[in-house]
Amino acid sequence: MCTGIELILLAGTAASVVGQVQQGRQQKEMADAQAVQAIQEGAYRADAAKSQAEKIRRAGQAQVGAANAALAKSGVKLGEGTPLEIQKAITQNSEQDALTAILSGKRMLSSAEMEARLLRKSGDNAVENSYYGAGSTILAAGGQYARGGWKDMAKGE
Amino acid sequence: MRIPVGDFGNATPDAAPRVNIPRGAFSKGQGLEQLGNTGMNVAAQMMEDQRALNRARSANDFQDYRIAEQGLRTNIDTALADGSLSSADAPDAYKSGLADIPKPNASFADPVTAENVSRGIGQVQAEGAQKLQHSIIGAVAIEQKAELKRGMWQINQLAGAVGADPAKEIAQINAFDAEGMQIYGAEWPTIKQEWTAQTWFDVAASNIERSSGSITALQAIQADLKDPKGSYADKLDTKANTALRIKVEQQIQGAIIDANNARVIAEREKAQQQDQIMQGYLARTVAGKLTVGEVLKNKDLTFQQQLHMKSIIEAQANKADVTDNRVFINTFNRIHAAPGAKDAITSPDQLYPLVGHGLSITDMARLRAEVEGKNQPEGEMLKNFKKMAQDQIDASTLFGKDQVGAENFYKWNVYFDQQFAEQRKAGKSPHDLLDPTSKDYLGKTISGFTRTLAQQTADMAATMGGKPAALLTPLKNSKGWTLQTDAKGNKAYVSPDGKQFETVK
Repeated sequence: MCTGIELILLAGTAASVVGQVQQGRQQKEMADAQAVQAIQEGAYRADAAKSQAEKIRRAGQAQVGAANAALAKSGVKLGEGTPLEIQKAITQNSEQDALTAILSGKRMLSSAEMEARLLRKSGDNAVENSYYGAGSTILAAGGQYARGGWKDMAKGE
Repeated sequence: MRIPVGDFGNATPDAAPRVNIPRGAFSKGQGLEQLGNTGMNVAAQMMEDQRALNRARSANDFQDYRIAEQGLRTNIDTALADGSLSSADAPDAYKSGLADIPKPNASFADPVTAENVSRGIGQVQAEGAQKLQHSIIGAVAIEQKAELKRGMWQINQLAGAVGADPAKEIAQINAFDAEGMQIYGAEWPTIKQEWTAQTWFDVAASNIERSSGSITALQAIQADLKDPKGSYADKLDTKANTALRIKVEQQIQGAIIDANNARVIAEREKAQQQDQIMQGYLARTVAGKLTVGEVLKNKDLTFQQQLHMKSIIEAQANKADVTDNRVFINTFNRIHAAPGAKDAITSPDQLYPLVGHGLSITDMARLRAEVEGKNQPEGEMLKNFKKMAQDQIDASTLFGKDQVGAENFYKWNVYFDQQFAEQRKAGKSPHDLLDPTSKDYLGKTISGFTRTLAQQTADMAATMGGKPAALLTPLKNSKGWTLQTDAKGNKAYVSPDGKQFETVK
């Protein structure tokens, strides 16, 4: 027959178990939300890098046009020789800058994705740990109950 | 001219932003670890509990062992004290008892506890053996004292024996000096003195006991005890001397009382013997077979008794063996007089002089029975009953002389005594015969001897004129036949066998 103390022990254990499981789930929800936020932020930055790359490319084309105009004004024949090299260099450099911007965006996206994965894992771990924590609480309570009943155990022997 | 080529190609890619690593991402296993730790803690605590329990059990078992060992020693101490166990047998008794006590089981306890229990058992046994040794030493001392006391007591017993030599007994006490000093130490001289004094006391007490009954010998011992230079003067203390003097005084008083009692008994026996002789003489006198010479030769009778007997024989010879009613009534009243009355008759000897002087031998014997029965419960009842009858029959107490009443009471007395004796022989108790509610009540016989007041007055007037009025019919005739009345009121004297009768007119 349960005594009052045992009932209190049982109720406390149950409350602790439920609380730990709920806390684990909430931690997972929070981690998931942070992961989504991180992904979105990475995607925004990647998109911004792409836009910047397009701007660089367009600036490069404009610079090629300005160079061609200057060359043409000087009377140099375009499309061959130095003008062509200048045109290629401007294009290559601007493309290089555009690719650099894209690379930076990809890197940001990649970091965000990694952070999101870690956050999700953190959430999963919180849930898993809450289960183990609940089990630990149950085990501790069982042990406490068993220790409290050692006189009965001794009588039983 | 300067060709504008722009500022391209200098850009460098941004480093990837630092990833915020949540701690929880690498906390996998923490819960399991916590669970494991909790399990280990619980197990560890339970193991500690179990160890504590085992220690407590071992401690309890050990305590039980200690208590049982103490109980064993207590029992042995008690047995040593009451003498049911000798000191020589005590070690074996302890060893045997200890073997029967279950030892504490520390096999399930931790090694330290097991070691403690083992050492504790050894300590208990060592202490127990040491305390037992003390008990044995004490018991040995008690046994030695008892042995010495037994020896002293035996010497005292010998000192009280007939022909014992007190000096020799005292020498025997002195022979115990070595043992006495060993057992009692410095106390021994005092104790020896007490035993020596006790020996002398026993000697004196024994002498008193042996002299019991001899007043002369007891008085000699009494004088010896009182004498400051007597044989016990320096051997008994004042208390013992006083006790012995009280004892000897009691013995002397007792001896005097015994001597007096013996004298009284002898006198009583002598009186009984003389009374028997007188009884025999009276019977022979009635039969005319006794001579005065024989009476005077009998040395067992007193001179006075011889004279009385001589007077009785002469009265018988002179036909003076008749009863005067007045003498009979007077004697009856003297017999039943209040204790200490001046002329009270208390002994049959006082009746003998009356024979020949108004009292017949037969009536003397009857009154003698009154004297002898007076001191018995039955005699007391009879006395009261007869006084009641006398008051109804004899009016002398009311009117002075009532000769007819006195004669009627005499007749009723004779009749009553006869009836009473017969009924008693038939198994009736005095209560049956004297209780008014009993069907055998002898008080019914009184009415046959009573008279009316007018008749009493007339009788007394006639007596004073010298002529007694009508006397009642005698209850017996000259042949001894009794007066009886039939259903029709006819009266007749009937023979004892009931076959003959004489009609009364």
